[in-house]
Amino acid sequence: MELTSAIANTPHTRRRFLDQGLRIGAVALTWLMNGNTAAYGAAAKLVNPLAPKQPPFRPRAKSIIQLFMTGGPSHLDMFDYKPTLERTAGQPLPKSVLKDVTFAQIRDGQPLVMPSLWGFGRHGESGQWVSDLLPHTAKVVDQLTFVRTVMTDEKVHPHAEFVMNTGHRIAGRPSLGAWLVYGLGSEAENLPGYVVINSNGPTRGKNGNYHNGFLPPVYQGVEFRNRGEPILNTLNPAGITSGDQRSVIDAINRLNMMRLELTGDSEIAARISAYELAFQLQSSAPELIDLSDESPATFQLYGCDAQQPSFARDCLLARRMVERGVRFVQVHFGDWDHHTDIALSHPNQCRGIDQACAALIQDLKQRGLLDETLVIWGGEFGRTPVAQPKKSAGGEGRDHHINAFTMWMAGGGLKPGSIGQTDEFGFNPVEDPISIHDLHATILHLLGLEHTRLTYRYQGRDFRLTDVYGNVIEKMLA
Amino acid sequence: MLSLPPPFRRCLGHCIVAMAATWPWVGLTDVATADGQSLSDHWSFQPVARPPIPVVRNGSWPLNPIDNFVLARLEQAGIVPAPEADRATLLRRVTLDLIGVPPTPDEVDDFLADTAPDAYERVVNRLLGSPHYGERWARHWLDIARYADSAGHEFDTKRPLWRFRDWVIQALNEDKPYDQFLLEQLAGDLISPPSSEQLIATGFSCNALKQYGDIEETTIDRVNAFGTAYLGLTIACAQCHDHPFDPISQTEYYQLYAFFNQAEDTEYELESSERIGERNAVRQQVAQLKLELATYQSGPDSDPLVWAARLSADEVRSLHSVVREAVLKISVDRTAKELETVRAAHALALAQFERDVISRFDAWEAKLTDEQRKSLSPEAQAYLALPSEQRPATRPPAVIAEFWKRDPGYIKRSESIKQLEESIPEALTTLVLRQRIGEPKSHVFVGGDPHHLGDEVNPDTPKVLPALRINGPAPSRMDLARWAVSRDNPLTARVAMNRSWQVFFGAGIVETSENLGLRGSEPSHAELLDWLAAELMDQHWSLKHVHRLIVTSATYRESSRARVDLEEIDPQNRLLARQNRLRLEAEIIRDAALACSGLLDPTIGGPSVFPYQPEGIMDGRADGTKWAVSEGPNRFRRGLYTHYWRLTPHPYLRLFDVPDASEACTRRPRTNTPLQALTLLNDPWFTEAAVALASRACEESPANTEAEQLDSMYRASLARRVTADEQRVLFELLREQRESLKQDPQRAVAIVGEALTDDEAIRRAAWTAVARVLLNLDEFITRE
Repeated sequence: MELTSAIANTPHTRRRFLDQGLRIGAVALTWLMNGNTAAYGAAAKLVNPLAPKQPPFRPRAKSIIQLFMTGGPSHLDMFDYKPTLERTAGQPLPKSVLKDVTFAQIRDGQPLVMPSLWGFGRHGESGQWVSDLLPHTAKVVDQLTFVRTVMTDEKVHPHAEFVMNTGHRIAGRPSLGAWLVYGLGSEAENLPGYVVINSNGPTRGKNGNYHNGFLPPVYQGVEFRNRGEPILNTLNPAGITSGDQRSVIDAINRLNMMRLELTGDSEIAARISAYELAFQLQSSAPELIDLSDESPATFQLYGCDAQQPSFARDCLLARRMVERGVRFVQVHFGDWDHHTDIALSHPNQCRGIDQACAALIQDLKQRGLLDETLVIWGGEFGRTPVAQPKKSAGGEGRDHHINAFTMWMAGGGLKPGSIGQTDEFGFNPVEDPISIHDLHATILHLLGLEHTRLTYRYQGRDFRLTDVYGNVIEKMLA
Repeated sequence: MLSLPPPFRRCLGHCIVAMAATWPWVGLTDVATADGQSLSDHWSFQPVARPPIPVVRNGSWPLNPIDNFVLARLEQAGIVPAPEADRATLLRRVTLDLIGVPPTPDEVDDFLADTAPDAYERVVNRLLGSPHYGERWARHWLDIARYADSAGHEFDTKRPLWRFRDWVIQALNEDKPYDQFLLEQLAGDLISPPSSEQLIATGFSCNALKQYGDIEETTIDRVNAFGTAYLGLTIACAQCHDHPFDPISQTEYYQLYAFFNQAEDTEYELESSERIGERNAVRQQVAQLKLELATYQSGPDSDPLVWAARLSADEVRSLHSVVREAVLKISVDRTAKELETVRAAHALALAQFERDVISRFDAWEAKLTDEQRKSLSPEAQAYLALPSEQRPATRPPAVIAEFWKRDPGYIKRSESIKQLEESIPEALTTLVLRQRIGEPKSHVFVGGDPHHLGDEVNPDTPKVLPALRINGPAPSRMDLARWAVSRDNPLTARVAMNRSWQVFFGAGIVETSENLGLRGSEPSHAELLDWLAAELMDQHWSLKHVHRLIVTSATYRESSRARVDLEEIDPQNRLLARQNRLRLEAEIIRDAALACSGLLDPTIGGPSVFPYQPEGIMDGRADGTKWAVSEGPNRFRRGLYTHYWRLTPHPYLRLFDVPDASEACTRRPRTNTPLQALTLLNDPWFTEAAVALASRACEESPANTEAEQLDSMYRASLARRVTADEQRVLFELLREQRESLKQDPQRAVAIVGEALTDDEAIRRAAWTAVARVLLNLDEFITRE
């Protein structure tokens, strides 16, 4: 079949092949022209699994940036102000509060209350409490929605991480990002739809946290390294220029095209397209991390520079990704696990993130992106209001706390303010306990998806992110 | 919102959601399905009977009974089977399917020249006799056995199990009867007396993920793996409640659990007891030194009793007599008075230690030169720069770390520990199963919660399947193994044959090869599956026998070209009117690249190896392990020998769909992604192979014309001759590359990575571009 008439409408990136003077079968053409059209008639189920899909409900946000703080940031030293801790410092926690809780590490029968070592103040028009550890975040509180009563079931790091990311305590289930890209596809043409950046090392649960689980592997998070090549193998082999690479890929695609004509196997059409995207990624991934087009004001806002790897730079990269249509970016910043020496370590950690978090919110807002981006901040659990006795070296710290901890979110479709209240020790929720499933249901809702209907059939059953649980938290919605 | 009934709320497992409509679940085994059948009437629960071979109209097509079953279905649907694939395709297909590497150019030439009617059968016999047959088929079984070289979870400790992997290879090469193959893996330790090999076989059950010695979770993993691997049932559902679809009650699940609950894994030493003793002595010494180092750094233990117990004889002697008496006595008979004495002495020791450390620290700080200060971490420098009254009460760990780094006592102690540790030779052990001591009781875990015990259960098999026969006083794992491989068991042989079929055709006769239960997909050729299962059992469970039958069938030999006439009637090609084109498995893609470029080291078995992997993959592991790249030929071993860390698997393997070893995997997906393209284009694994393939062709026969050279590369990589159209495309590339490299010969040297004359470097670099094209072709990574 001759193609001349069709070529006129072919997007530039796919055009190259068609100019090779080859006679290309109708099969390939249909596919090449339209990334989500079935190729070989009814014989192929070849649909681009990442093509953007319209969600069933009106989406309030298009993309998510999750700032994942593993190790367990102390809600009591950052956001959940509890004057009672000062009054009762050094005393055992009342039995009525403690009940029969067992801690992750504290083994003493009567752990003693430890007040926050930092002052708290009310900030913004909303008058939200924020501690002195987070002076920058304090300036953007009016944009944030605090959830003060998040609860989890797991007090061990990797399991709690898996719960936060996949809703399930054992690795192997699809993560939130995977579900989103499965449900919504991706608008990023030259980048993956689901990206993970590890700012200061990987999570304990590693790839279990950005797994596709039983969803097709194309939905797995792609780990971008925050230094060097952002994805593996984007650099040409030694001695190979971009022109050589283009020539090699052209030859591959021309021969693949011949094979496609001969065998009629639509997988080959997908492979040709994969090689085209691969070639684009070789330039788009470096383009993404080339920050030379960012203004000095932006670097000043984030407190980072173009080269030095840092959490702030990763936040800036996250913004660049959502600008380019990436659906879900997880920036991971770990090491919050301060069983000892919290007096020194928590300020350090907070300095590592404070300015960047605030900058991300401001930057997104300035660019009009905050309305369509959902930013999520939080760890896999919080920390105890009681002290973990100090070891001989170093000072006191706090143990893992799973009954209630604080997260904040900002952006598309949320009502700024706060939801949920903990008791005077910040130990248990007294109002609006929120499960991770509830959070997941709400997040999907904001993206235009209904958590009970976003299902995937596996081994004969329909699975979903929220298992059989989860309620959308109406109070958080604008 | 739907919610599970209370007892099921902790459902760990696999169930859930849209089946909400079917709640409450079927009470148990004998409820009728919608069409009025009893659940136990499901086809796969019926005994295997050898069906008669169907009569077909086109009697000349079938080469063996398999073809009669396939053709009968096709004739019913009015479809004519595809013609046989061309001989070159057929040779590459059968070679990749049976041994997992492409045929060599000589093998291609020989086969194309061999016009005898039994030429193909002789090739099949050669391949079935190859020691690489075991490697190729072992990898498939290792997926099912969730094999990995580490334990997974947070600490992901290294696990000595490669002997199990080698056992599988060996067993398949020997064509160990499949029933025996299964029996030894499940209960080899209960054969009396077991051979070493039979013990090693039980490594199958030791592949469980493991964390914190959580025996329940480990045992559940074993039950589930048994269910999938042996019975082809996803019985995990019945962990928390009666199985919602298959006739397996929760009680029956825990009856199976009870067999495995009697077992635990243990390290089986494969060396002499003296050697074991020597090593243990060194290990103890290391442990003692570590304890001493800890005491040296952090002072007396915070618990007075622990402190007292750990005092060395010398230390005890140097104590004041009252304290000494109290310390000695307190370990046997404790009174309040002695406790008080020990406590006081302990407080004194603590205080003294702190004074001592502080004065040593001060002395260290005072002696620091400016130069030394600058070499400290920024945090430590900041602290030391503060005037003493402004310093926090406790020294930051960063500062303390700097102090210790330079403390002679610390350095001396940690160095001797390191030396001793390095002197411990790696133990020759493998994990095996053994019976637990005593008779552990098993209970139903209510709602799947191991802390919520229900009724006690005894080992037994599900009622929907034939009854268990007991050979001792109580049911044992050996009885379970015999039951699984007994002729009456309707599942085992069917499940095995379905999975073999899947490897040869890309999809099983039952597509859901992990599940032949009620929620499994419908078999496309139920009678063929039964015939194969009967054949397997009748032929002494010989896998090689059935594999020979399959690959010599006309069905297997069909061309895989797409057929426009089938688009509407059989879009999935379930009726097999043609073969399927299948992307090769991760390991085999690399094996093929290494083989055709002459780099492959064909050594079979041994400890897992560490070929190149990109930087940073192992970063942040809790154990701090690094990926030390193997040296020499171990860099070029077959993919199944690549060390598999469950937590940080080699990125190449995961990218090409190697399962994560968290549970039994009976079929891999075949993805097709841009990151795969990037890997094949740019990863050093493949560029190295491309250079080697090009150099080999260049060196082979310098007198060869370019056409001959290209043809030889085609035969090495694709096992066929190059066509004129292909030659045109590649010569164009070759010319273009040569021109461009002439401008910059240094690039050519960088590409080939070898000091050669400019001309030779340019020649090889240009051919390397051609080789890169070949190794990236869809045809190369596909078996057609």
